[in-house]
Amino acid sequence: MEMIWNGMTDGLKLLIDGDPLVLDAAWRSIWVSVTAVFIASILGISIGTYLARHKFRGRRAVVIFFRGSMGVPTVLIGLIGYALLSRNGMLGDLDLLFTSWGIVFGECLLAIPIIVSLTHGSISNMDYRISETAMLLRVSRWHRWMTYLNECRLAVTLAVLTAFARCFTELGIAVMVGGNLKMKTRTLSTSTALETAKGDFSRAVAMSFILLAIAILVTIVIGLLNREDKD
Amino acid sequence: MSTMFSIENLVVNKNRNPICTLDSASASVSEVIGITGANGSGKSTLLRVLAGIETGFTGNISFQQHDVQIGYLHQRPYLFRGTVFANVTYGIKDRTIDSPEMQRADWLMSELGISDLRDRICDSLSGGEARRVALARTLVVNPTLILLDEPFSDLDSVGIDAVCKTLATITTATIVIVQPNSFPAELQLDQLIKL
Repeated sequence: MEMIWNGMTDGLKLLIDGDPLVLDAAWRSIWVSVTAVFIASILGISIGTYLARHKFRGRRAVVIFFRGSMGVPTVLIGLIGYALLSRNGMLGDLDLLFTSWGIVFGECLLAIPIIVSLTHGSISNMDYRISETAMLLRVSRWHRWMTYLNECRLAVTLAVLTAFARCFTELGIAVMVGGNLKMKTRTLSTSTALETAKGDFSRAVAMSFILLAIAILVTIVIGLLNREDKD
Repeated sequence: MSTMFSIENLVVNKNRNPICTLDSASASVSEVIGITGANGSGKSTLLRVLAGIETGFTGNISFQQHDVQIGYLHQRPYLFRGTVFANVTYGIKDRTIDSPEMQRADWLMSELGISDLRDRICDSLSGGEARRVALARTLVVNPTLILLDEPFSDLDSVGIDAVCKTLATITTATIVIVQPNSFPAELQLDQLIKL
């Protein structure tokens, strides 16, 4: 108990003093997750909307693939990312392994299925009159898509926030694709694991505080949006 | 007068049960056709078939014109998020202020008595107001076949009068109106189909 208490007080002190290791990991975690979710949102929302509104052979299999991919462990995604980005891998020429952009790539693999599945679910279940009205008024396909997303905007925002929460707190991808290099690819979750293993409990607690604060913030936003949706 | 559409031996099935049957019917351009019948007789289904959004049917429906712009008002219309004006002008392609379509939108809002609701958010509209907004949105694109599912529901006598007067000004389209009971006296029907 004393160890936890000391860790908390020392951790708070590190945060207040602006410990460079803690701040570096925090900043990297934020920009890597935001960038990954931004890229994944553009792809995921487009794919999810397309799957919801267009019938084609094999659509059901594609939907099941994305739904199933939501539950894949991050360590496995990290392994796939590593295999793709390693020198002999398909994307080895990009030289992204053990870089922050490598983690962005891996987190995209994590976020895309979440955003695709949740966007597909919300647009598939939207009121049938929305698509019928838009189609009969003969607006362009782009206009129709924007209408669907606008009508389902809370659900789509929730999908993006859920993906962000997963990316921000994940460990497996950051370790395997990022390599946990000090001041280069270290994120809050990888640093927390490392500092705990090293016995530097106070730094681990300081980083956990930031992780927890952002996770709680995202949860509160999701909760507020959910409430707004029900109202 | 040229024919807009003709229907022969129409049977609409849902779960292998016929939910709408009609031996024959036809409509000319500028005709106003009323469809009435008991609950579950297939009035709304017939409109959906004519609109092309209900496809599980047997029989023959033929349109004489190649490019029929359909205007369809749902039984319970859906208004998009946003203002009344945004909804009314939703289908307009040329959005410059003095374009004929935008002028038509202003005219329709005025005719239907919803000009003062222009900037209101649609969530706060009453049932009758929402129906008139949806009707304006349907008519603003100048459809050649207008399909209205219970357009007078939720409307007070002033609203019914406004809708009838607006429909009376449309002379270049075929109008098909579904009503479960009687039609307003102000509405001049050319045909009445009983299902």
